[in-house]
Amino acid sequence: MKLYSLVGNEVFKIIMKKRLWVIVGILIILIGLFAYGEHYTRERTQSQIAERIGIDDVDDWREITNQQLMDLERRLDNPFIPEEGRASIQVRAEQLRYYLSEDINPTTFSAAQFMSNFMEQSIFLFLPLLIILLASDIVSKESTTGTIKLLMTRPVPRWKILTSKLLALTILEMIVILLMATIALGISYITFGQGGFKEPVITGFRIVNGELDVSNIQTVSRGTYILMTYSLGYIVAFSIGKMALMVSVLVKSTAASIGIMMSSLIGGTFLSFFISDWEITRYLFNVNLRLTDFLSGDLQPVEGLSLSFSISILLLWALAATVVAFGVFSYKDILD
Amino acid sequence: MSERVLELKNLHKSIKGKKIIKGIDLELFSGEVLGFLGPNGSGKTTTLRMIVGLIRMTEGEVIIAGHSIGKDFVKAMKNVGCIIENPEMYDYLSGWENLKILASMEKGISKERMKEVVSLVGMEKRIDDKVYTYSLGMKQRLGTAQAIMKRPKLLILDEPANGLDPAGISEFRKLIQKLAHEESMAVLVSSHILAEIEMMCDRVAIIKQGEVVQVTTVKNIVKDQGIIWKIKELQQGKKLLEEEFQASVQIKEDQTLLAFLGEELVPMVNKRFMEEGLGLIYVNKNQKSLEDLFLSLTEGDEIV
Repeated sequence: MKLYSLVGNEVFKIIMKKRLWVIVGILIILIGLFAYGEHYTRERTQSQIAERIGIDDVDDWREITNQQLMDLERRLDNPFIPEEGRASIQVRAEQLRYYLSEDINPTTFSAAQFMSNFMEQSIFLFLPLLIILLASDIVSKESTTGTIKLLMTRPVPRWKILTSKLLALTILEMIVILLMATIALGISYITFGQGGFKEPVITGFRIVNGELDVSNIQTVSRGTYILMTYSLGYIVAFSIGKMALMVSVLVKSTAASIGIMMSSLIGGTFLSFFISDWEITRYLFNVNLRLTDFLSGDLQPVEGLSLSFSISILLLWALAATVVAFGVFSYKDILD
Repeated sequence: MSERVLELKNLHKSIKGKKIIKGIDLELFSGEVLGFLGPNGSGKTTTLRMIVGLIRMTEGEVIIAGHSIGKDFVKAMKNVGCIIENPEMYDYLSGWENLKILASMEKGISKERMKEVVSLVGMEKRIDDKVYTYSLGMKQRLGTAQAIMKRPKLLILDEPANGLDPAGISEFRKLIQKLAHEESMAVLVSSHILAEIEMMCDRVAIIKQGEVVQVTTVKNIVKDQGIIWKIKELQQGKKLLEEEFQASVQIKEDQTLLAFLGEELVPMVNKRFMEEGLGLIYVNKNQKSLEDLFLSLTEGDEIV
């Protein structure tokens, strides 16, 4: 049987389940709130800073940035700030210094900035949650409702059935990423009124042994930067999707399947807080989700990770999950 | 001559060390309806699931139209249409969309054929509605439609009469017999409604604790088993029958006489009973039903 018609069936089923509409709804509501929040905070911070340094013109970004830099330096003198906090403040200060010396305005906010910000904020939790919502019932729902028996009594080998589900899922992960980008663009353009896709962005800050390493710094346009963040988002969506597929094969109930994926996702974040110096945590998928932070230069939850390391770990997890899913799906008895 | 469509050879299944199926051998030929009977937990559904490859057998072989289900799943399943347990469908899709998805997984099912089976099961009016609006009977009809649309050589129906009203059951029975006798499908039906099996099937296999205890034709089961008289004077009647007609006579629990003798003698016996004033109330043929056979074979069983 032709694989593409099987994939077509699976995509059709997912769309008819209306899961995608739930995801669109969540995206619109959340992005709307997020955009409003960003807008509000930006304006308030700017006017606060302006008030503090006694200027009326909030558009003078050099002065505001200088002030922020001084604030950060003052905080660095505070002996009560822990080592980890100190490092991230240092990074931020270095970045501000860089903006000042290169004459780049960090306070303007555009639709493009919002788009990349949104992905940076959602890549480690919100995006995986959407994918879990989409993928967790892809096999388990068929087991619960018994339609798995319909599929498995066709003259189609089991591996082909699972492959069609896997490919359908991979396509829909891409659609979710595109939906995120489109909705974020639409809403933020309405809110902020400017595109800003050509604005230069500095990427490649890295922390090596607690020091800011600027040797890999590159300037790219905001548009390219967005493309990079959303591609990284797709890598996360891809691997989380494969893991959700595996769990969906392993457990019969969709509720259990969603629960297992969510708790491992959130549990991993806790784990990285408490035992970040334990060697093994770096091989967990959930501490390797913040791929975009490698671009923006933010601090990683576990020290010593690199972009290529994190991507490899995620892909390895995806591969392992796929192998387990196929193994179990091909041999399991359908008892009820 | 009819073709052997299904063959079970020494079929075994253990689940977690517990023997569920203990060596089933069975054959099914084209144009034949075989009823699969057994009490709850006897292994009916497990056997049906092994036939269609949903469960792997521990030992033995299932051969469908010459292909082993274990070794050549795809070729074997090309010949099978089935409903296993409940007629589950994608309830967020319409009946037609369900059929379309399932048809796309087979070879050579045309739109015309799909329309034909929809009208065959009497679902034309509701086929474009979502399945979650269907009653159990309508789901059963849709399930039947998807099972027969590829004209399988082997049709497997697990509890097909569930949820159908009496008119639906009668229609269904006619459909199954038509498929078997006109399109020479081999049909394997499991049911717990014995009267259904009796009316629908040519042969029955009775399964008990994972073993087939008897395979027999329905004709054999329902063949005549003597004559029954209901009369007021039982002892006198018994004596009369024994002395004048040399019949062996029993007095049954329900206060009737059961005698084994030729039908042609019945008018004579009746005449004698009336002459003697024994109070004849009625006379009847004693038919042993499938239910009697089933109960006698599976008597005292506990669910394992």
